[in-house]
Amino acid sequence: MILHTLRRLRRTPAPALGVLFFAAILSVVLCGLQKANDAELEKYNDTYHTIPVQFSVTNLSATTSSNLDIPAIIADVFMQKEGLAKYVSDLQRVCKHAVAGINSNYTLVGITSTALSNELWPENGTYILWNEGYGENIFSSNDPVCLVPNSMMVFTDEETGESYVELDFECWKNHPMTEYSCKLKVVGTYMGGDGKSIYCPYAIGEQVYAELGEFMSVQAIRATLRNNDDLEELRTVSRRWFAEPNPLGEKTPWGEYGYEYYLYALDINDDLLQRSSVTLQNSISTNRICTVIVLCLSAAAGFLIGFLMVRNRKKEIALMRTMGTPNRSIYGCFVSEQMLCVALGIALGGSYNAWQPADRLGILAVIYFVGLTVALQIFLHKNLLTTIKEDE
Amino acid sequence: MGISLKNVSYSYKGKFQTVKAVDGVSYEFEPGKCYAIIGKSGSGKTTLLSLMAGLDLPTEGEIIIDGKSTKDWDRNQMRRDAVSVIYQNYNLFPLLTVQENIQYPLSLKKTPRKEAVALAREVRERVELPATYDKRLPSHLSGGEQQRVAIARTLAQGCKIILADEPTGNLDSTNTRNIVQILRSMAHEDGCIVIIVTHDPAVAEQADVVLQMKDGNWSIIE
Repeated sequence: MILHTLRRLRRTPAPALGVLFFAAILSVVLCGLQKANDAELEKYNDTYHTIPVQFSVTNLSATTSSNLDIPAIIADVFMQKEGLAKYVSDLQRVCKHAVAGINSNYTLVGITSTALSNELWPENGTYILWNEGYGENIFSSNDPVCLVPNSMMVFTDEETGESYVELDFECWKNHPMTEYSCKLKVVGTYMGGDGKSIYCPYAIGEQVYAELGEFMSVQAIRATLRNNDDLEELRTVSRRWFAEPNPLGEKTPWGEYGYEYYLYALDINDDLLQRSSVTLQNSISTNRICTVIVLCLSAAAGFLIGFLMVRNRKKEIALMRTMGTPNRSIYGCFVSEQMLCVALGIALGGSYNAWQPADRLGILAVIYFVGLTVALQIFLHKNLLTTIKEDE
Repeated sequence: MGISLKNVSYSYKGKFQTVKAVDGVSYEFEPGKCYAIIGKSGSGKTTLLSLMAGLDLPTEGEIIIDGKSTKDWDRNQMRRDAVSVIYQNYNLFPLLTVQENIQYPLSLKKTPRKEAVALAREVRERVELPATYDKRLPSHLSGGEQQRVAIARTLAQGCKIILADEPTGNLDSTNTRNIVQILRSMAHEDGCIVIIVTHDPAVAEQADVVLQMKDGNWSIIE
């Protein structure tokens, strides 16, 4: 069968080589497109998973960003298993207490990271001088330590030689008024900033709330999305507790908790992610469109070549039919010729990219034969007498 | 195996009107005889021949081959086993060699290769073509040689009804004589029904029965 087909092809080499060459070109283009697409997709995935998406809580009723007063019920949403904990990494929180007594000019600021307190950023002219053995990581601990303004009076323990501050707190909301005092070890000082804040680990701030019997109030919450693939899920899930940020400042219905309004919004900052991925997505879409065009071209080529082939060899086909050759044998005869050329072409073209992706090359061949079949079937179902008369 | 026509008519739609190419033809062809159908162009000779070859069905009446109407025959089987056609323009497969052309109908009948080769050799010798022609393509043969290959193919096919549509139309007188001789021998020696459509009076003279077609019907001349 193959020998017979080869013999026939040898006698008409030009069309056979044409088909072979065309199939090879299409294969090279298709493989190239797929390769480019894979690279873009990989780049897209890398980009999508490496750009951090941060989200923070906005108080829709707050007039200034410095006093958000987020109640513990909202802050807890980030910690609870059934809340947003699954989506959160690097949860940062800030709480504040006014200090009473001799240090009443100061505020104790409990932070989980300096990232949330821009007064401590070097870009804002603040310079931190850490004592030996201490650094940024103190904010993620539960140690009773603090970072104070360099102008603040600190005490030194003569026995240990360590510096410390003593802070008094009062809560007038309770009756009778509650008081609490604590002693924090000074692990560093800072210059610049507001000069009025004493920074300590967030856990210490929380402890002060607990000791005073006050309701917890969080000044700022910021977190990073653990996995960017969960972005849309986060948006959906967060609607249970938060409104969409509303730039017009209009109040938004609360929903699940039965309140009239949502007071807080979850501000998801994914602009950079979207901007970066849109370009790559466009590129991927273009590649996909080109792939579809190549496949359509293949079908069109199959149809056109099939059409031209049967037109050139219609006398031969008609003769085969008049001799009683079944249509499937005629079809098989022409398809075997084409299959050999297309397979060789695809093998040659595909080898340029190590026959990858094999499935696309298969689709290319199948689509080509669909086009070819349509052209052949049109001819094979024509009235034979009419065909012969046309020929004469 | 015989062939008979019963009130056969065939009409087709032309550009402006329906054309009745064959109009109520009836006849019974006998085995072992050579028939000639003559007539002017457009008289319906070739159309009638094509209907007998099973290329289309009559619009009215029926053609009975081997006791069965062409409507009831499996069309491919009929073309393969019952009726063979020889054309004016030889209609050989251009990409197949002489031997492959002769063997083609045998391959359709799934004849074993050895047997097919032997039979092909036998029929080639019968039409007086030398063995050196076996590997030649039709394009390397003269008209007379091509027609002999076509006849050899028909012989190999082994049908008992041979239809020849102007088989000598493109040949010189010597070749014409030879071809007609072979066709006659197929009728008289092999017992086939040979029906030749021709314009050539010299060919018609050689036939046992001559039928003249006129306006889609015919009359028997001799």
